[in-house]
Order: sequence, then structure tokens, then C-alpha cells
Amino acid sequence: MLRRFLIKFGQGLLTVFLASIVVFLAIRALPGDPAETMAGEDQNPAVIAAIRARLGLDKPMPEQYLLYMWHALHGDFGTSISSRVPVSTLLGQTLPVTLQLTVLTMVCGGIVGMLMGSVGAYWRGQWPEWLSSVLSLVGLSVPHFWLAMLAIIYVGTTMRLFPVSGYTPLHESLGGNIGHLIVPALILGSALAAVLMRQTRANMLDAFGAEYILAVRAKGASESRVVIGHALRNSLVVAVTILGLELGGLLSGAAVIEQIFGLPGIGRLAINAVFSRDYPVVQGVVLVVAVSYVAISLLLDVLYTVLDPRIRVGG
Amino acid sequence: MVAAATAQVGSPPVKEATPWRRFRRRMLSNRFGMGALLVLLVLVLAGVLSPIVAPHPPGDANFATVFQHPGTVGYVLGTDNLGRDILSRVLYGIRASLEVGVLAVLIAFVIGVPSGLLAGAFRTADVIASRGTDLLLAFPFLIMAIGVAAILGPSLMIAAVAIGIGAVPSILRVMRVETARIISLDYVTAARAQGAGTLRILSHYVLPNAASSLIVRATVIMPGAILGESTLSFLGLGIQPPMPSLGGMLADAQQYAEQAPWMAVVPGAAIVLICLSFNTLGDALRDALDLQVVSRD
Repeated sequence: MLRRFLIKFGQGLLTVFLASIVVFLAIRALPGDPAETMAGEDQNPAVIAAIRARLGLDKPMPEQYLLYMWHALHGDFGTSISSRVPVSTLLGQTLPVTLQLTVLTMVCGGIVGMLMGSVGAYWRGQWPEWLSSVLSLVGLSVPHFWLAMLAIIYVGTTMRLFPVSGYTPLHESLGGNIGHLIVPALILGSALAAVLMRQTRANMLDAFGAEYILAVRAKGASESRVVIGHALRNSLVVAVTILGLELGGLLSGAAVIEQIFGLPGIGRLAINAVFSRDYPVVQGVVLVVAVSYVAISLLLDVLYTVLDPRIRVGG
Repeated sequence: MVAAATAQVGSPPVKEATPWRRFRRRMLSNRFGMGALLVLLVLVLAGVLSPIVAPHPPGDANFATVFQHPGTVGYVLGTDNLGRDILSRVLYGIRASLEVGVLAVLIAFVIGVPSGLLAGAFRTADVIASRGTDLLLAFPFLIMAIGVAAILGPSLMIAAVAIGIGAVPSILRVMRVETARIISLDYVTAARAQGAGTLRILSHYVLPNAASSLIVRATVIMPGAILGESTLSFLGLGIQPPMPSLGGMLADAQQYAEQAPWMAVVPGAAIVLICLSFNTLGDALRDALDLQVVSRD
């Protein structure tokens, strides 16, 4: 098990390394010279040369890359061109918001999806199954930003059921924090729930036909124990795999949702940075997102191992 | 497909038993699937023929007819803040969405199918491919699309390329699993014993047998690509005005939500209808082809 984890860890490091090179090269392929942008009105060659020297842009590319990575490892991602704030500060402010949104989305989407999937499988051929199939198809077909728009316009603004914009940090008020994040998380979680619903239903149907469930029933276990303790438990492993696969989509979706709900998260930071050509911020965001992605995948992988003893034993 | 292959070999040549006949019978008896197919045909026709069937030019602003309610004579789905006919704009928007969807699926296939074949057949290629997909997945699709749009400028083509590349891991995985599965079957060993080379096995044996999985996968990627395009256009990073797009129309609608709710409802409903049809058709195909439930990764 340790060996498996170490291999996964090494693969993760490799991914982060490759990602950092791709980002580094891509940023340098962007049109426009950041030194000229920073020099502003005064396009004095001496000033531009000085800025280039200060940013290290006069050095050869491999050296620039190594310097950037060296500083990044020490928590220094450079300074935002538009706001002159250190990128690490911006990341420190925005990353927690996105992580909270993502985790809350996983929880909401996970619960709704697995619940509806189990319900659909248990009452097979009756209206609950029909409802869960329709809901999952719709969940896969509705654009998040449209749901968010409709929610803001017709539920948030008109009925004032939830705050439509802004954010309360977790350490200020837990209720306020969840109040701002719950609707975005439910909307963002709709696609995740839809995918989980289908997968859970399929797994549970398999489980209900399997011999071990017959054995548990024969033992006289209660119906809730059969469903929750045995059939659903085995579906959890697949659910965790799906969470891992959907993670990239979740982080993408978070960017749009943050933009619409005015949440000060990392996706919103990235979108604004691209529009204002703030390349140190873009570079920092992409690097941090790639690292988070790899880290969360690794975490899910560990969870997967804990949930499925077969993997644990098999090494 | 395993079932189909054994049915072919094992059972006597009864008419009803061919895989194609069984597929056709199952497909035709699936009401939801056929309904979705019908809706899709209508939508594709409407999109392709939009220059002919649209009642008004999509960019035709007319300040005498702003904010007409749906149902107004001449403007069945109403007009927007510039007096443009929403039905015409939605028809053109459907066309643009379908274009991006088809392009993205093509790009994903052109990259994903050959690399998946190689990854399923050769150990070294598998290692490279799985590191490549890890790398691609570490860049959330939207962040990548935003980056590409920032470098090359936003357009329909750029959106399609970014979405297509984002969908490569999904195709690659299916192709890889199918290749590894088919290559270990007895009839491939038999072909190899008769002197067929790896290239011939991949092109004549693996690819045709993986076709049904790939087709089903395409029906899953299509709605994802259309949702992606509408998101990019909504953010101003996809199809650029004055070219009408469903996402762009929704971005415009935000400001006029109270005055003209139909501006927000109609284009969104069009997106849902397209995606719902593709997803339903995909489910029906999968059932008719006897494929296992595959997740939407």
C-alpha cells in the first residue's frame, strides 16, 4: 500500500513539474512585453531595460524557469502587474474560498447523487426510478451559469431567500459562510449529482442481484442495513473514483459560478487576470490549481484504498 | 460487443439474431431514444438551414420593436433589447453551438483515437499517454480555454480547439480500454497466427469493434462541448458578437431580467433541449448496443 502511494505521489510530482513548464512557456507565448506594459506611458528604453533586469526577463529561459520555481517553492510567485500586490497574497485570499466551494459542492452533489441513485435502484420500475433518471438527464444537460442566473434573478432577488452576491469568511461566521456558498454549491453540484446518480443506481442494481446481499438478507438483517450498510457501502468506492474524475470539471465550473455570484475565489481571479494580461497572477493561479488538483486526486486515491480492502491487500 | 460476437458465432443463422437487427429492433422500440433522435434531426436541420428558415436577419436591430413579448405577430419568441428577433438569433445560435460541438468531437477523436490505440497496444505508449492525460486533467478545461483565448484571441475555432483538447482524455481512455480488451480476444490471436501485423490488427480488428463504444462516447462529449461553448461565450471568451451565440444571448439577458425574462429563458431552454436530446440518444444507443454504463469522465 505504501509502495502504491509512493508511485502515485511520484506521478503527481511529475505532473506538477510538466504543468509548470507548460504554463511557463505558454505565458511567454502571450503577445505583449510585460516590461513595456509596466513602463506605462514612458517608453524609455533604459527604463524598460531596468524593469526587464528587475523581473529577470533578460536572463536565458531555462534560468528564468529555475529562478521562478525556486522562488515559487519559497512562496514567492512575483507581484501582480495590475494591483502591485504579491501574487502569493492574492492566492492566499482566494484559494480558501474556492476550496470551500469545491468541498461543499462535493458534499452536496455526493449526498444528493447517491441518495437519488439508491432511491432509483431500490424502487426499480416505479416512479422514483423514473424521477431519478429524468433528474440525472436534466442535471447533465443544464448549463450551470444559466441555473445560477435564473436562481439569482427569480429566487435571490425577487424572493430574497439567499444572498445573491458576496462572501463571508469562515472565521467570521459559519452560518454566513454557508449561507453565501450553499446555493452556488448546489448549482455547481447538479452535474456531479447527475453523474453519481446514474453510477450509484447501476451499482446498487448490481448489488441487489448479487449473492452477498442475498446472504445478508438471509441472515435476517434489516432492510435499512442491507441497503445502507452493504449495497451502498460498495457503491462508495465508485463514487470516490467519480469524484476524482469530475474534479477538473468542478474547478472549471467553480470559476464561472464565482464570477456570477461575486465570490472572491481563485477562478474569478484567473478570469480577471487573463482579461487584464496580468501574467504573474495567471501563472501563479494555474500552478496552484494544478498542485491542488494533483493533491486532491492523491487524497481521493488514499480514501479509495481505505474504502476498498481489495486494493489495500493487493498492494 | 462480446455478447454480439458470441451470438454471431454460437447461434444458428436465424434472421433475428444478427447484431445489427437486434440493435435496430431495440433502438426502434425505445420511445425516448427515437424522440430524442427526432428532436435532434429537427434541431440540426433548423441550425443548418437557419439562413433560410430564420424569419429575420439575426443582427437586424429595430428600435421600434424592442422588448416584444413572445407570441407577438412576426416575433414568435419575442425580441431583445435591440429589437432583434429572438427566434432567428436562437436558430443561428444553435447552428454555432452544433458547429463547435462537431469540431470539438472531431479534434478529440483525431488526437484521442490514435493515442488510445497505441496506449492499449504498447506498454511505453501507455506510460506516455497516461502522464499526458494527467497533465491535461491538471489544467481545468476552463482555465485552459481562457489561456488559449488570451493567447490567440477568442473565436469559435479557438473555443472548439480548447474544448476538443479538453475532451481528449475521455476518448483516449475508452480507446485504450477497448484496445487492451479486444487485443486479448481469441480471434485476434488467431489473426496474429495467420501473420497479421500489429498495424493490421489495430486497424482491421480493434477499431471496428471499438466503434460502438466510441459512438456512444461521442454522444456524451457532444452535450459537454455545447455546454462548454455556451459557458465560454457567456464569459465573452467564445463566439464573438455580432455573431449570435446562445451563451452570448444569455450574457446580454442578465441586464434585462426584469423587463424581458424571455431573453434569459429562451436561449437557455434551447441549450437544455440540445443537450438533453444528445444525452437521451446516448443512453438509448448504449442500451441498444448492450454497453455497460460508463461515467461521463
